[in-house]
Amino acid sequence: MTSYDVLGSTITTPVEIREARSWFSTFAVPFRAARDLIAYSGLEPAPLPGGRALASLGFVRYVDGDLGPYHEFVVALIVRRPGSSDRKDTGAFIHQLPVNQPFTCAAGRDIWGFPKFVTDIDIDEGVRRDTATLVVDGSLAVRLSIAHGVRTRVPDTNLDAYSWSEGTVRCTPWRLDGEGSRGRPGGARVDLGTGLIADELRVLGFPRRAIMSGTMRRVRMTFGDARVVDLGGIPAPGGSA
Amino acid sequence: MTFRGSVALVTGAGSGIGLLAAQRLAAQGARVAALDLTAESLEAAQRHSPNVSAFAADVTDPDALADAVARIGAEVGPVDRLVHAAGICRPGRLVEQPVEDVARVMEVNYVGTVRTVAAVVPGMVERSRGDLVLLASMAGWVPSYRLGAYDASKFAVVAYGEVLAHELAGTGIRTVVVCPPPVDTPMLHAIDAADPMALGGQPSIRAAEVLDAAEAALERGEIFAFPGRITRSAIRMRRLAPGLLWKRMERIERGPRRQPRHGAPPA
Repeated sequence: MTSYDVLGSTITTPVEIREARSWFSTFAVPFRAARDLIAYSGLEPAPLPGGRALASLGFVRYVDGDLGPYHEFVVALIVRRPGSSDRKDTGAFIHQLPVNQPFTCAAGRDIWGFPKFVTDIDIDEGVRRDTATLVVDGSLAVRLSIAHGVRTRVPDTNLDAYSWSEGTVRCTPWRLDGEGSRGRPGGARVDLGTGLIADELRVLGFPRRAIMSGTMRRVRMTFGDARVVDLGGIPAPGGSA
Repeated sequence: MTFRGSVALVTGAGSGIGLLAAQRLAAQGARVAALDLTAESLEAAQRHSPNVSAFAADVTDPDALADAVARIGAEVGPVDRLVHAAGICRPGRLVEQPVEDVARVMEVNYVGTVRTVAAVVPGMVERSRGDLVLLASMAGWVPSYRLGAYDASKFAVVAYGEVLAHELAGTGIRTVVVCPPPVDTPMLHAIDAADPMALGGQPSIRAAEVLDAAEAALERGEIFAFPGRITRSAIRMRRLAPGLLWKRMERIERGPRRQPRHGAPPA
């Protein structure tokens, strides 16, 4: 348990999210493009057969939690845990994390080194699909539309979320459980606009078909303290980002 | 629907449906004026959200309300959406209940709605746009034991809202009157604590479902939103077979039979 001063308020870890809604899609992307994209971090994507890696796009509507209400858009890649020889030992590297409120932006950057920045994120919940529109610097960056699937059960999940900030890699234990999960194969539509995030996704072969997509109507999450990850003397290369 | 840059006034924003509405609108980028009886009760709505401002006022106090709405207009901006969730419930059997309690429930739930709408709507008419989300209740269609005061006030809100929606048609203002069954909120817990018989074992739904249904009804241009799976059928039953419904409620009100069905000696 650690306390942080964020814009004059005290935030204590583990940070709790009592109610949120989340939407996620998973995509198989070219391994080499993914590796080059996150080379700056010193982390490496978890390899899949066929020269592929896993990328995840998602959006979250945080309703009640320690960081206040806000929207978030996520671009993540599944990476191998540094130092582990087991190929199935993975975590999620948070590559882009725009949010639409300044408090959570400051907290995310200060506490965990998440690459948050403030921009416009609109979430439109429709009858058959829900759509997030990410607008950066006044123009459309990405529109992600996720179809409602069939009811599924998602077990409580413990994930490691990796972040990179100013040369330091951190690992944050992220616990989530929820109700009202739905999922289906495919199910995502990605429209790309302009700017850095759109260009990065084009390099990964977007717009492309999702492997699967899902939503959780009511998610609870906790974020623990971040620990600095020693990448064993691997210098952080410039990378392509 | 994007709320970025628009202004929302949420009454009863200190807890329950109002709190969730304020938090959601804030997440969506609206500038939210959160109104409740005291500024302290709005702490949760404001927590870490720079776009929520707190205003303390009693919706039954015309001067305080007019003052708050004027300050909201000046400090936050003209209201694009009103979510009127302020309301109270005092459970009890009508003849045993102090008349003041019954009158107070009507004052807050009905007159409070009228006053809040009156304070906000003229500006919306002038700008030819606005959303009115008025929280009524399934109790505004289906009365039940021990909730007479509340039922009467919500019947009033339902009638008022229906007429209002028609009178505002064509002005650019959308109106939805939201009629949920019991909702899992601090108010519901308080009702349960005050009179465990009042809810008659009805299951409750979540505040999020109520707001989802309200949003969907607004989009579809419907005057009423009926969240919850059995709400419409309960209302239909009350209309078509009120006797049956009351018989069922009476059974719950009287509690489980103490006499066995068979084998009891005739009285």
